[in-house]
Amino acid sequence: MGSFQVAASDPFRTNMRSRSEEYNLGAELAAAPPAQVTRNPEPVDFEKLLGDLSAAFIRTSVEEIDLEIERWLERIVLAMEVDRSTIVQVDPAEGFLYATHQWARPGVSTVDRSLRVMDASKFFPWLTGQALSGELVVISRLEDLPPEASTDQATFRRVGNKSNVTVPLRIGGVVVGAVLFGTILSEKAWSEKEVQRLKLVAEVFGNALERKRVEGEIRRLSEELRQVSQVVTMGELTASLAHELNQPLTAILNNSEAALQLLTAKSPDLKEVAGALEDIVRDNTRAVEIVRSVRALFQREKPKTGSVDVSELLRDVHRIASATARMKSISLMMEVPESSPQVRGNKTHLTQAVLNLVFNAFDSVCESGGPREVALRAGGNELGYVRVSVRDSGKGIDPKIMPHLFEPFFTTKPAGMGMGLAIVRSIIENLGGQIGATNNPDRGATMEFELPVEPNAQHTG
Amino acid sequence: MPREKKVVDTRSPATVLVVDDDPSVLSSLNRLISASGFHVKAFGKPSELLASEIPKSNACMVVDIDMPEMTGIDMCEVLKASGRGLPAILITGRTDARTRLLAAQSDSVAVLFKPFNQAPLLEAICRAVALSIRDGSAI
Repeated sequence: MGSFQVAASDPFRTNMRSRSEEYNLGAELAAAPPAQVTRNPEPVDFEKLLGDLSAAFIRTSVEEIDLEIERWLERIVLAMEVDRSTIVQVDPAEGFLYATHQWARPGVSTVDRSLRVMDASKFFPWLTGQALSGELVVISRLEDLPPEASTDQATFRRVGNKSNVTVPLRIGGVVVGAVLFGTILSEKAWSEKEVQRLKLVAEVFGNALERKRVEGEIRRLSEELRQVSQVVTMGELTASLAHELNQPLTAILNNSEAALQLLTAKSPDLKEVAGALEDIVRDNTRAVEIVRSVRALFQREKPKTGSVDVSELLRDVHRIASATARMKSISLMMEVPESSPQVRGNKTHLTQAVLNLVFNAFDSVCESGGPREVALRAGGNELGYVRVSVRDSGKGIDPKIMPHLFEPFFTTKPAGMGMGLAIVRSIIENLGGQIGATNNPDRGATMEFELPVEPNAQHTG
Repeated sequence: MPREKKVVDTRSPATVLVVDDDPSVLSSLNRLISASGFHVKAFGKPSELLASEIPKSNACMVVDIDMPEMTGIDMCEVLKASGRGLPAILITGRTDARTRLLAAQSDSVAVLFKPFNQAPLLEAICRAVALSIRDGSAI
């Protein structure tokens, strides 16, 4: 990191532009502060403070990082005997430099939060250039600024600065802004030691902001992938559902035309006509059921929680998956009690979770080259939990990958995104449940989850 | 038309063998084709049809493509390989490129995509039966 130290002598002082021009710039900035600023005279163990600062950001959650930075700006300002500190960052979308964090002593002006979005590089063009090219700039007196920094100097005067240190802010090794420390009350001859400390402070802030940026990115990416993976599942299902719907529709059409044909006979076989009509009603019910299960699966609504009958849920899953099972020559068995205890949750999410496990099992048995059997089971246990399991006769799970099975982005499938089981886990855990995987003693694996039984639901059956 | 030209007695109704693994579709086809005056034999699995007695003439098949045991196309191939082939009409609920290609490459009389109307089905059955009479009489 290079550093730009302006000489204490002042050869550039006469090169300033006219005052009126300067004052138009930065008109949004607050006026110069009143002079009744007092400083804390207590000596501070700065090395200890730096240690606390680093430790604090290790513990801070991503949501709290911004708040924690402003809390620490306060402590640093007080400890370093300066009056105001500001962090500016480049907005990657706009290319703007804007104030993201600030703290100032009482009585010292600050940039109003609503004005933080403005482009700071307009008011500090020279300093912005220095900071973004990685230069650390120490200004002990405003008169030390070079002539090309006249706009910067005017802005400093306007906001009341008498001295300033600007440390480039690096996130992931790239300069993305700067941390500014300023004095208002008096000019300050910054020592090398003080500047060094401010560099360390800026480094800690940079690391914290990097963590925030990375986690925000992961969160956004996960959400995108979650939606993509739902679309993929939908695509896989659409083909088999179209096939599934075609069957009752074909039967309905055939029976209708058969009934018409029968009625054209001289002495119509009315018993056969009645049979056709009864079958039409039955197949229509079947088609409606299929449509209903699709609608329940893909409706984009705010997740509503309610009582969910686990047996009914598994019957839905079985109905949706059976077309695919048939196509892939998989025997899909189901063992559920007539009526199981209710759990509290969102039925659509739970259906997707179980479907995901079932489709994973399908993939496993198809890859194994062995028998193609998948069994779906539900049952209660004495501890107030409902247990759902999906057992397959596939290739089993490599013990080496078992610990990573439910981690996001973990996949063994060439085309997989590795989000399926992570989403399933989040659905189950959000409902207070647990999920796990085990290899079967004979062959294949079993995925199993438990959900707490809803306390006040009636258990019929 | 002078009767002596025909080897097969066409006064007896032609037989239509129907195979579909979906019970609703199978029974509805049975009812529809029967109502149109044919003698129908319905099978829920290819293996049941393969194990049954196949007419040599005056008959045809209506065969679902997508069945778990074997595809309808494969079943027709098995029958033909054992010298018991019959003209077939393929039916399917799938319209994807692969199914269309497989169906087009088979030597079926017609391919009907579910759901289909009575008219094209009967038209195809009549053509298939005519073919079986021609081929059967040639033996």
